[in-house]
Amino acid sequence: MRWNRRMEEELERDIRDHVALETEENIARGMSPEEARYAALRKFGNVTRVREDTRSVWSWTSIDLLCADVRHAFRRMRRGPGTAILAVLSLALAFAPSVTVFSVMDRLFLTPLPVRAPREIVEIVFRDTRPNADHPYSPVSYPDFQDFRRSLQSFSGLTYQRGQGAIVALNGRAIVGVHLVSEDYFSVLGLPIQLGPGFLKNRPSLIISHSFWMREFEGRPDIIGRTLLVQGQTFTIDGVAAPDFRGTEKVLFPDLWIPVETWLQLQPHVRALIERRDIRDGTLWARLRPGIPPAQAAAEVESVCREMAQRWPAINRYLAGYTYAPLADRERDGRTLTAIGVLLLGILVAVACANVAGILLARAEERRHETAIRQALGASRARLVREWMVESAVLSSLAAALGLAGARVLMNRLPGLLPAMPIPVHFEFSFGPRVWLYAVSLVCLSALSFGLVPAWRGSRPDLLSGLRRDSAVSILRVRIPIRSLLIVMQVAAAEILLFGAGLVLSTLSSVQQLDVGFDPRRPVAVAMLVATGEDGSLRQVDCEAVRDRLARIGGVRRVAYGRSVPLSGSMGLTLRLETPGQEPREVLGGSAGPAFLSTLGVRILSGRDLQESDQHAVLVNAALAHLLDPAGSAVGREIRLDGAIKQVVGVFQDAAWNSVYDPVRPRAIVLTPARSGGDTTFAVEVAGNPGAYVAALRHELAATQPGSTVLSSKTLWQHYQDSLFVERTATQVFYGLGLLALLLTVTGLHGITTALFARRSKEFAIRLALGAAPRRIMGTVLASSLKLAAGGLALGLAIAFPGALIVASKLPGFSPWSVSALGLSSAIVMVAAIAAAAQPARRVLSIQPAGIIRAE
Amino acid sequence: MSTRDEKRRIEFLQGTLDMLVLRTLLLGPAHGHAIAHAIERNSDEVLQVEQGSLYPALHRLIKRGWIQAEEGLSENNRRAKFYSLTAKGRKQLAIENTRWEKFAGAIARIMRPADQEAEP
Repeated sequence: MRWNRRMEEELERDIRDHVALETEENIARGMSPEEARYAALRKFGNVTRVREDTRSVWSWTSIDLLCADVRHAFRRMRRGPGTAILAVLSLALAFAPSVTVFSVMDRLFLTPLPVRAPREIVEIVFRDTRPNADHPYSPVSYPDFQDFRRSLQSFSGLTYQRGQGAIVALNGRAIVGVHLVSEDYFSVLGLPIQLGPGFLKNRPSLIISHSFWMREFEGRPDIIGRTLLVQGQTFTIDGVAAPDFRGTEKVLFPDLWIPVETWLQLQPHVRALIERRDIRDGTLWARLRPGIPPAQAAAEVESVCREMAQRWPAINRYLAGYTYAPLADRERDGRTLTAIGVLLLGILVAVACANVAGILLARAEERRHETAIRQALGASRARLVREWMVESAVLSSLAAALGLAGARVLMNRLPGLLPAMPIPVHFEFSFGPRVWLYAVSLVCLSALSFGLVPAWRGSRPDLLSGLRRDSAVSILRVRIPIRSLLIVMQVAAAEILLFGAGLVLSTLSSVQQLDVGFDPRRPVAVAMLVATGEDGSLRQVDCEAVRDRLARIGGVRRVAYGRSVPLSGSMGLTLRLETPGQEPREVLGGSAGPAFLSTLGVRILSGRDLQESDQHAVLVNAALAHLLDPAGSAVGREIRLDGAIKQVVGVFQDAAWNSVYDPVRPRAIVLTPARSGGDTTFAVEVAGNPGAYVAALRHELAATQPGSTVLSSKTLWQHYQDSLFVERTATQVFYGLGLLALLLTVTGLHGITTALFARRSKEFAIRLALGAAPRRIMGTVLASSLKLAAGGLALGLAIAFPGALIVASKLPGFSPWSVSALGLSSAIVMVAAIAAAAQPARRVLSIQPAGIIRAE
Repeated sequence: MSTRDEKRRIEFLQGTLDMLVLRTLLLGPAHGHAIAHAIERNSDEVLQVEQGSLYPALHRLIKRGWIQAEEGLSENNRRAKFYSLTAKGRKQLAIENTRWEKFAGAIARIMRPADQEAEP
């Protein structure tokens, strides 16, 4: 049995009957009917209290009461929908980014690699001992790794890993991330394998990632022993990695792990790259033998490096060893970064909570009369507090639902914000258990924090002044100074963020003015072709045939091919430059087909661009030309590059090959062979809008050879924009946060103005009654709010300017002296402040002096 | 604040009131008003219960299964709810009685030392 409507009705009837009977008896005793009834009621006691007490007998009733409270909360919210919506929105706007950022941090920082005994893992890198080395630290090459593995005794195992892309024949072809690893990689690192035996020695064997297994094979268990075509070679799937192991890197998640020795046997053409000692792009992780102190191991690494330097003087002369614990470092940094992140997000949420608390306090003030009446009728304080808390919980839950939905949308959009990469990145964010825990505790804590104060103050027994609507005794009292300070800080935060956004934006536009060495506005579309067979094996491509084919597309004016477009995020190979009378040095290399540079708009400063059959020619950039001949022209000189003699035929403008911020370094560019393997970039110059040719370019390239793979077909302008991805994202993030801060500020200002108004409404009424002009009083209310806003603005600028100066000293192209950023951000903040304060201030006009004063 | 004191008083009285209700119902089913009056009369008007507080007590007893409620007609022919003892309630009353007697006996011994007990 439980309390329900029927029982409630029966109790009502019981009470009614009881009082009726008592009244009859009293009449029989000779009282007048009216007297009799009053006596009966007196004797019965507080009907409401009886009703409540009876109801609370039934333990279920706490749920009933809760339901009633929730319904009541919704009713109260409906009465002031504007403030409720404002409260829910500002909370949701703080929740959504907090949960999203936390899930990113969870993914990047808090999810540990499932490596056994991670503290035993040491990474070995080289340290360049020259004072002004271009790369103070460098990873290892495969021959380096083999040397280390032969010599080092302090470690129980050494592993090698090299990331790259490979073409896999599935349904159609796909390019996937591959880690070439030493064959004992999984056992040395102690990585769990979900399914299968792991690498086998008697056949070409590979391990696939859990994500790849799910995406391509729907997690079927019969996958072990099946074959997979990787660049034309048949491999057997001998393992599925554990779901929580997605490679050791933070951004590139490999889908395949292949033993490097197997790869070298099956793809002999990569030997030239992987077996070269001076191309260092592998990662060496080693496991310390139990009982060996790290210092002893480091000393041994140093001594082995000295031996290597003696053995390979030409390339290892300046390289010393350096060891550190990558996983322990990562764990510590991860925790620190997460703690900082949680703290910052906490501030954001705390600001939102303070605002909502302000709104609720103002409402408590408005409801004092109602509360006093209810207390007079016998409502207990616990009951009132519970009502307030339920209202807070309802607000918080609504905000949580909205915030989590927002977080979901943001998380799904995050991977899409990344620019198109040659190797697709499957970046998934999800609500893991830690994220849920964070979200739930965030919601509960915020409901508590913004609910308790209004609940406590709002339910304070204060019958006399409450019933009299005496506004001299306010429940707000001490809250005002703290809240004012909060508002000032919020306005400051909004100003800082908006100002920052403006500066980043103006930096972005000034970066776009930077000379990148080529002309991104040229009507050019570019695409990368990887010539492969049906089975995914790499083929040679006849660049001239492809060029002629592309030239037949209507509207195409010129076609050129080369290795890579500037701003591709890669430095290019290093070449060894020998010139008579100078010490050999390393320069950056590259290759381009005939007229490739001119097509991209790279200016040729002297001499000419490369032509067909320019086998022995080389183009140098201005920096290298200056190095070769500081006085005159380098054109015509002969230089020795990686042992081959080349003649300089032209000097081109320094181009930013890697990123716009790269320091200019000497670079030499030779002719791309007309028939070559690997990836080739084709650039087509067209008449009109190049965007219209992107699809055609992709289509034509894919049709050149059956089984060819086309990567990233886009216009030169898109390519340029993608390279500024970080800057554009920073602008968006700053604007997003700035607007968020502004919204919270608006909420806060609105709240404080409402509270101010509620507290002084009687005073205003009297002043109005005495003949004050409503506009004047409105001005008073507005002015007190705007004073806070102005204070915040000043504080914000006082912090933002020195901050911007510090950033400017570290970041080239960033200037804090932007009048538009300053003016715009200040204007936005002030307009928002006025708008926020105006609505409550306008309520002055609706004051009915007579009504308020009569209530006395 | 008075709420807390009140609560303590109610807790103290609750057990007693429950017992009084059970005791009253031992004589036969009765409706709320009758129970209140019976308690007042039988205690020679010493126990002046605030009549309303009877109802939470009745519901408490229903919930524990000691009494049950059914529809009936009151003396002036009005439909009313009649409360009656259940078997469980009878047993409980016996237990309460024993406990009460023990308690009362203990109080009596303190108030009236042994030498006086012999007196008739």
